[in-house]
Amino acid sequence: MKRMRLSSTGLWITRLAIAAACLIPFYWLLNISLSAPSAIYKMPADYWPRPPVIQNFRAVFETGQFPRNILNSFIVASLTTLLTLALASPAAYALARLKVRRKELIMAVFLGIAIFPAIGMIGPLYVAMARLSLIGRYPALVLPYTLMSLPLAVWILTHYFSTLPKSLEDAALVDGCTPAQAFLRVILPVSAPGLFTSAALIFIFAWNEFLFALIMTSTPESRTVPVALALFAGLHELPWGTIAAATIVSIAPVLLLVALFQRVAPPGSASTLHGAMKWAS
Amino acid sequence: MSRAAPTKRRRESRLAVWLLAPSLAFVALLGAFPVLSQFVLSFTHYNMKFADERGFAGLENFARLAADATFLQDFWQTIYFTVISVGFELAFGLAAALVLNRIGRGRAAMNTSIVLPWALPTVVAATMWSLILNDRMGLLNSVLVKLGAIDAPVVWLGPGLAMGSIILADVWKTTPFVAIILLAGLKSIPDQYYEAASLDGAGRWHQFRFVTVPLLRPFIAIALLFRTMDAFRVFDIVWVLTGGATKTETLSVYIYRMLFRYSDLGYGSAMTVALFLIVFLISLGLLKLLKASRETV
Amino acid sequence: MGKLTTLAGAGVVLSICFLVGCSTGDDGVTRMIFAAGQDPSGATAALIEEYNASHPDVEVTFQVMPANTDTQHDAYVTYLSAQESSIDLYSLDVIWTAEFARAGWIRPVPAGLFDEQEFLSGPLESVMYEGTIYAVPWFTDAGLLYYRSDLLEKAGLPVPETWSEFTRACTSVADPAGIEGFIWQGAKYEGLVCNFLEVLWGRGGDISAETLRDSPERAVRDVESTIDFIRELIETGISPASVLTYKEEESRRLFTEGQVLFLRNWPYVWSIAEDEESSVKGTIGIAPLPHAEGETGYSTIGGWNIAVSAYSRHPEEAFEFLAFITGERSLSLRAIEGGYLPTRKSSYGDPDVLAANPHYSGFFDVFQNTRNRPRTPHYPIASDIIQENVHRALTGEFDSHAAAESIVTEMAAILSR
Repeated sequence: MKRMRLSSTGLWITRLAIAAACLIPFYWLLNISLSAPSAIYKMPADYWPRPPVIQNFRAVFETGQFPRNILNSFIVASLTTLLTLALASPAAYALARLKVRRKELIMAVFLGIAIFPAIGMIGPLYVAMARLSLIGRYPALVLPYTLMSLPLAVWILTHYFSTLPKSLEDAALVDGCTPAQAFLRVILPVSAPGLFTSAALIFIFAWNEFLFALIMTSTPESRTVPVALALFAGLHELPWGTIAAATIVSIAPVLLLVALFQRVAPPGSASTLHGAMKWAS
Repeated sequence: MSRAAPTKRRRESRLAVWLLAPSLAFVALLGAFPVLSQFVLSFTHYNMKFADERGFAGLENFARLAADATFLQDFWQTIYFTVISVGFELAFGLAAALVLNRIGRGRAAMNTSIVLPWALPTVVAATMWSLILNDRMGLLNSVLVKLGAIDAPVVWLGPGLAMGSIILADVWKTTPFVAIILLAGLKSIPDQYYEAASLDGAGRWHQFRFVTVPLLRPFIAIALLFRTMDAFRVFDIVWVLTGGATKTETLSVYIYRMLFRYSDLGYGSAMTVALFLIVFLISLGLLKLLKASRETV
Repeated sequence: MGKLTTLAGAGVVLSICFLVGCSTGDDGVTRMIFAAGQDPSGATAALIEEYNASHPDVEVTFQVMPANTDTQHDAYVTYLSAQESSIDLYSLDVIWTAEFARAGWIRPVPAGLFDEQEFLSGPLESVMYEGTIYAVPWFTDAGLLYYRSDLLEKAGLPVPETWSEFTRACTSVADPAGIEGFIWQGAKYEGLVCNFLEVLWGRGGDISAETLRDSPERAVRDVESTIDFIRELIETGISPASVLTYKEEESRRLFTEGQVLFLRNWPYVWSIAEDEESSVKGTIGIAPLPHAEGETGYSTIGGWNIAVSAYSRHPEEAFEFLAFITGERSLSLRAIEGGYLPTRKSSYGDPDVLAANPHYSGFFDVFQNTRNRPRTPHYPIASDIIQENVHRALTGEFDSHAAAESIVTEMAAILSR
């Protein structure tokens, strides 16, 4: 880490600026979630809740439905992530490392799916899911979400796999591995950062999607977080304190997950790569 | 080796087929129906409320589109939004990725905090910004007045400023997306490259220019491509903040009006198809551009 | 990484398992679904429970939707265009009746299901399309004028009835007090249409199909002068320019923070303004909207109706439930528990309703002079024409005469279709 040493104060100032830009709106959301309704719109604003109240958080759990909604989001997002990676990583490996005819066309097909606006697809997909009597079940969300996140995953992983040195599989093949084994035992492990990046992006996309979640679910028990948040709003009234509290509650698991990823994910691929190369030779 | 080569190559391409088959089959099974139905509908007159008046339209929907002043205006507004917001997102995202890549202590906390804006549901983020930007009771004006930067509250969502405010909210929300992708790219660059460059006496700038940028290019391309496509389809932030008022309406707001509000599937699908073709061409153009620039380095 | 693939495989298998559908047994119970916006008071859910208990052969499920109008419209249009048969009843915004009826998505209400005389005239009009009744009024809403009674009293001014009295009160009371004169909903959305039509009607104008056909010049003149009048409210500082970015809640907050003399808003504001937390508690009043000299003020009708889906497999049972949920006792209970304004006249004489909502007597006066927005299957287009042109004219992007002309010609084309 000796390269490109900026003055370390400058670096820290940049880091603080980034953190501040991301966190200030959140601090404000937290402030609102802990404030009494009358304090939310004070002008000039209070910069911390005086006194802090928990009534908004109590309102979130009043119906008892919200934890279930968080669980639904968690299941839907996890299944989407797993299914997408299971489909995308073999495809990306083939596109990046193997001889494939019409490679550019295949990449373009994936891109085309990503370009199609979701609002144009919801009608036909609703009909399809209704025919399969999947409405209100997880696949009604997991399948469309996978369709929508597959292109990004394929593109990221294809490029990630391409960055790995060709000598990796060659060594494995010389050792007697089949190409499939080389992919599973050598390429996938060293690609952990690429996989985790795709996983994080897909998971959060699936966690936050609203339109499909609204239309493909029906009962309060089957709703996911974004729809549950919309259910807190009245016809005209916007109980912002409750919505802020619910947002904080629902975002906590996502952040926990991201923090966990940091622990599991290796700090950089370089060290893993060395290990893998040693193993492969 | 040369004797084994043909069978090896055949084995390799057979493996490739097996590896690609599941995802292509998935796309074909689930994606073909909705996508093709849009193409078919775009050649019909079909409003769900007037299903009895349904009929073949030929190219009439596209002719109407070519003369639609709203579509044209929204197109330019969408381009404006896309170019500026994606530009800022790439610049900030690259800066954030470079800074985060070299962090030691506090890495997890730092990485988690930059994911926050991206992890916030879009509708909540949009509503939050509408409150922050509110002229009388918003945080932004409150802080600016206190700092003495402005005397009177600024109407951030009013004429002239609204598009800028929408871009601000979008840049805040999606810069993490770019940063996360670029961070993965930076991690794929082995340290040896930098070590070799520094042994050759390359300075910081030269290392950045001749090691980081070329090796990061594919990831910049992905971030640019997917952000451009998403920015072109921006909907929620515009819908919540202005509803498309004061020259902020984007193409997907117009498509939403046509498909959902007016139930006009024929014309709405023609718009969707047109938007698809436009973005597809832009994407191919971007890819060409990135390829060309790679060759000149 | 072998683990990862196993896990992924398990995920795929798991999701395929969900594909195995579950079938409902044939036990002679008719199962119906009623889709409607969230009712946080729980009154609707309680009524449905009561209905199910007294009808052992019927089971109605409440499909709770977000209360937001656009959100419900998006969902219902998707369901109905897919000919979804599992949902039997829908709650419909008053502006949707013509649209859903023309599409063939909802069934005409059988004669004799309810007595028309018992309902308020505005909501009753909203369930009709081409002479047929397609829904039953459920709860209503209408634009009201909220005012600060303390400030008017201190200045010795009566509650203004005409626009000239109104603007005079703004300059003589609001300006010296350092607060805003008049706040309303001017953002480009449905609320702007309501606000605009109220001012137009209060000045003797209208954009009904007949007026647009028979005297388009007069319509252009009225629309233009209304836009100019509203623009003047902003230019003279009676309303701030930022009002053109406000929806219900932005305007309501300023009022309940005590920064506004007059507010145009829906009845929901009352209970928030009279809450312990409000800074204007006990110092506000409600009145009909102002009008021009010699004219009458009208409020735009809002609120929701309930209709039976054309694809329902149990229309008879659905209409029976519809009669119950829009019955006198149901409407009163929702008024008492949730503050939903009843569409039946008798509820406004119900002592229990009035005990829970003493302010309803004031609302009842306003409900005598209400009007519906144009009733046409093309309503969303009509609404966008008004929103687009009025908003652009008010922000100065369009000239008011040009805006008025396009409103009148485009609306005429739509209403005559």
